Amino acid sequence: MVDCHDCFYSDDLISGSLLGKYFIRSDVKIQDVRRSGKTTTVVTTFEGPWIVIDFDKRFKHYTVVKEKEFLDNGKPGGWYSGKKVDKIELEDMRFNRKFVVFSEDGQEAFYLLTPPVMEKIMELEQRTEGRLYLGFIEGKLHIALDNNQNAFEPSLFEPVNDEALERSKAEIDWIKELVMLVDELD
Amino acid sequence: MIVLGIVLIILNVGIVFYNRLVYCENKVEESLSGIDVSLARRYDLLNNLQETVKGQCTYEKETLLQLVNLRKNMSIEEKSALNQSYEKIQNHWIALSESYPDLKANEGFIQLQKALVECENHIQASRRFYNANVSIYNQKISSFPYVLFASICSLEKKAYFIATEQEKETVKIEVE
Repeated sequence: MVDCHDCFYSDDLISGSLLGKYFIRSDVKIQDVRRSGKTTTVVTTFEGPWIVIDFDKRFKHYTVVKEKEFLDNGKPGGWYSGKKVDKIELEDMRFNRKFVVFSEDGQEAFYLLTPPVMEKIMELEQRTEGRLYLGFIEGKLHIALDNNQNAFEPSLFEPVNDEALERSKAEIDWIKELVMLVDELD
Repeated sequence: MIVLGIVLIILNVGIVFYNRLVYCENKVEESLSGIDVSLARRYDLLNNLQETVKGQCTYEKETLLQLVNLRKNMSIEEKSALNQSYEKIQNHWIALSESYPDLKANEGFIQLQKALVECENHIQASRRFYNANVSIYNQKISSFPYVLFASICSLEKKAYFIATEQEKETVKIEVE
């Protein structure tokens, strides 16, 4: 799924169906090994939940929306290298200030990113901590949140209390919220 | 030698700025073709809609409306007007279908309505894409140093594709 990186880990795979939409999510960690002379450093370029949800609206080309601070391999369009993409300037200046959009087809980017969709994405960004990434890829919507966290990892040395359960429940609620959001966007 | 160097630098910078302008103009042309494709699609769908209605409502044959097809070299203003005329014709047939329960239940008619809604979404997208590119282009040719090239090459501001009243809001057709 992600090119041009050296190390890739994932755990806590959850898949299911909600509102007739199939989704799959996992906690993902992506790292680059960078060598400079005798020094080797491992840089984490992404760590957080990654969810892929069925998207009913039909599209043929690759379009990606990401927060400007979102880390990637530094190529235009991000991780899915090898794509010939253009940077797209949408008409909403607030959106352009926060996000950067790359697409293989400008018109299709405008078709997917209607003013209500842009509004929803901005609302989602305000509610979530971390750097947001949305990819419209092969009929599915990828949503990734780079928040340097690994969910569903309670401590082995502490009892499972209400607080730990609430954290896990919040993760599940976030999945539900995203699927419902995608259902609205379709 | 120094003078030649300065001239070469100015020439290079000029070429870079000129190429940026050409790129913006090409983007406008590219997005204009998107509008043409969407309008042609809407024309085909409306023709099919008329045929479907004609088959179902025998008393309405005389009210068939004249659909004008997209012609080559139409200006953007003419295309805007064409799109608005398509909207009126579409609204006419959709309103008419209210009086014919058989027509409303006709599978072909329902499919056509769905296709028209989808087509309108594509027209909105192509209009927004075109207008965004025109906005970038118009801003470029008004700002320094592009304004120099624009006056040398006689480049003028491009017109926007005007949204229909329906497109300004949302697509109103309801598909059951």
